[in-house]
Amino acid sequence: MLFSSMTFLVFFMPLCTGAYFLCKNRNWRNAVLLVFSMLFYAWGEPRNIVLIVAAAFAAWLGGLCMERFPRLKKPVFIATVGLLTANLVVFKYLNFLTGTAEALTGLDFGLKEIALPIGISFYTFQILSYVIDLYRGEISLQKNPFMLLLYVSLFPQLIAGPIVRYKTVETELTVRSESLSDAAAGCRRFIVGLAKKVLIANRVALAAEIIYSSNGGEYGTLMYWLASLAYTMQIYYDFSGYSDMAIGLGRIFGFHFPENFDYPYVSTSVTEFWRRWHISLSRWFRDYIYIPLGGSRTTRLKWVRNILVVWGLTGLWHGADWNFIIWGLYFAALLLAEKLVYGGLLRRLPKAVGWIYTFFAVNLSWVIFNLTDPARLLRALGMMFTYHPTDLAGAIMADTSIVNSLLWLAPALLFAFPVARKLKERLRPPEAALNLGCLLLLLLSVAFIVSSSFNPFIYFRF
Amino acid sequence: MKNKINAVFLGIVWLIMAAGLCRAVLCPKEMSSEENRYANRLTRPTLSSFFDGSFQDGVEAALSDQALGSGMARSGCNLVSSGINEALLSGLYAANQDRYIRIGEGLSSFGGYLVYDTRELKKMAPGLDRGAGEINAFAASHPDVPVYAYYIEKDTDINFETGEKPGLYGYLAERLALPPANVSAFRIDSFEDYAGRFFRTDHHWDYRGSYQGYREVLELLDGGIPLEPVGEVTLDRPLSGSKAIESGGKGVRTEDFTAYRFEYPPMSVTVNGSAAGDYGAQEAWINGSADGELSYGSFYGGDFGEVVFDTGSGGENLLVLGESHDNAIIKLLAANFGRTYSVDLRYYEVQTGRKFSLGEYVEANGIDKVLFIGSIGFYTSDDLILED
Repeated sequence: MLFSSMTFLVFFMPLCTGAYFLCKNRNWRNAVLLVFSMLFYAWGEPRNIVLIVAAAFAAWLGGLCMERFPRLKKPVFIATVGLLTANLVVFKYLNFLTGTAEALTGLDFGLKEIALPIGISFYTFQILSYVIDLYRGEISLQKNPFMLLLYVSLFPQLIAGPIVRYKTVETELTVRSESLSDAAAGCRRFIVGLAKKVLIANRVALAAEIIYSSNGGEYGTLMYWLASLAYTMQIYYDFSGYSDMAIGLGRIFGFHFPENFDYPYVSTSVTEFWRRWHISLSRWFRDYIYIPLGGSRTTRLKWVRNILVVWGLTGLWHGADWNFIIWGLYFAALLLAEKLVYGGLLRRLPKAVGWIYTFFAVNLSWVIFNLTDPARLLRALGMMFTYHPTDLAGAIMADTSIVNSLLWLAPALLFAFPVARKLKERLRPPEAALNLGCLLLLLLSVAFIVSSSFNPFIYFRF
Repeated sequence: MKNKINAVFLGIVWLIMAAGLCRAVLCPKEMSSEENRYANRLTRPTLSSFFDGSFQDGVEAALSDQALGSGMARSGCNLVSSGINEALLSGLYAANQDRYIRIGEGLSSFGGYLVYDTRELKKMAPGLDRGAGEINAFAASHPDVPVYAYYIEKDTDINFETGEKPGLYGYLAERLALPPANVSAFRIDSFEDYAGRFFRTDHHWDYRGSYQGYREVLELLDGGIPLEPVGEVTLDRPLSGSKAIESGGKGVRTEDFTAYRFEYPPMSVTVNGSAAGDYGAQEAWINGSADGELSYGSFYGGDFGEVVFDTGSGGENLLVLGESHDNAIIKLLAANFGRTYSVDLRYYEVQTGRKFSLGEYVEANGIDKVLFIGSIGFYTSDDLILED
């Protein structure tokens, strides 16, 4: 179920919030959240609900054993992490691995295609954070399996993050307070996220879709650059909108999830970009992979290895395909270059230069990220970097809906900068005005949802 | 004060959301008037429909249709979107009348007409094989009942830019085991042929095309002298046809609606077993007394499982199996026969509650001639199943 679907807005949300706030007791409220979270997941993946429950149960059991049998703590920890990782590998990477092996050996292993369970990357990382932090002694054991299942399956962050670590919500699972001002702020945040997704991401997505799916020669260099820009905007509004919705929903129910985006497209270096983009994932890799490997406090060679490992894994986390690995290593190369070669120069140059460099590098990365078919990827890169004139009239005639889609690039670019935040700080609008604005945004978003069947969601596949 | 403001805000948001659910559950609307189709409604879940996801898809479709103001929202969004599109691109449309300008999935503008993509023979061939097989099987098992097939070529049967035709009719005609004299087609060999016979914004033939079709069908059936029009009228309301709606341009993409006027002989009309005053509302639209939205269906008559015309003349009984293209001519055809039965297999079982068996139907109603009439969609339709 997508947050930007009518099923969620008109069916799920009124029932869930109604039932939740009718209950006065914390346990009952948690029970409502658990039941609705299960329904939320089962709505899209009825069969795979077994998988998520089993993964949560394995983590709970592993945790219990680590606590009860201190001498076996390490083997149990390794076994639990191994089991959870194996689960992810089988369901997410086995197709890719066997496909690659078959291509290399020419053999046919006869394995059936395994469908990717929604949100498996997100919930696996969350469960791993519980197991690892418990092993490190940073959190206390969760004895109640239902509570752990609630943490894992909590629907606001279940399928697309932010990756909420157990220690972030450990206390709030049992002790939290919901308030009118929190609920209103959460609701506003949700609506803003919905508008980002429906009004901007879905609109600009169409331009990228039309151009990249074209087999003819009607689109030249200019259009391919526009397509890359459209996708750059789409992925930001899509994912940050979804994160906004998740954070807002959490706040309605009294949870405080970490921020996941901080205007990444204002960055003046790739290093800064990754401090602002998908923050919860970057921190996860930093704390559970990069630092345990030695981080930067090691020899230069090992540090380079650590960077390559982390970014290779970051690429793989996003998808089981070569383009994702290349995408991850592309960022590793840029980060290494910034650290070792031109980082100092970048800092001394005017900020505009840094911004142009970063935006160009990130924009290009999304082309690699977007096009999983190597032939299409090479074609797109070829079109971008060797000049092909665009017959503008012909390009528009090939699909006129591209015009409306490209018009949305203007607000997309504008609001990718902290314009709204600065306006809000300067004008300090009263609560009533904010609420009214959000109501209008909600109505407009719903109007767009019912009038359009084009509602893709990129991070759904992770 | 701040708490009150927030409480009101949250209450309104919750009501907006809950209102859609209440409407869908308690008083669902029957029709989506903006799109001229039945509105999706909630259905009961079953274990299998939940596990295969069809229940969830149905809920999404139903809530999209049933949410309060959804129709208005859809119309508004489409109106703004297509309005901007038309305003920005009017010059492009005007300068490229002889080229396909794509405006939606499978839909383009060509020469001021909204046209569908040309169908490919290799994709249509399996459907045509199946359709021809059904017709042949019936004809073989009922040699005493003459069977006729009339194929309507339209924008799907020709590429207007190149003039190339995929040969869909030729392929069908080769596979129909009927006497050659019993098979004919409404031919479109150029854009000029098309433009003079079809609506600009609707997927049906217009008054000239349908009248030509009527005359050709009557000749095919050896049905006697055709009715002549007694006048030509352009209605005072514009038409935004099915293609305009499909493109999101309802109210933006419009055209005049012109029709011939006929003096029909007296006849009784029965729709799905119930007596009806008339089929369609041609006179009401012409004299300006019609209510509702102007469309091909509201003027000539809608799609029904079964419509029966009885002139009481004691002439031959005709069975017409077709789709909406025949709506414009069945009343005309009825004037030349005793009883005329029109069956639309897409709706027959749902609307009449009876299974359809052509053999039994022909026998039960004393049918003298069976006519299959339609465009590519009809002859390749999965609904073209003549026996259980």
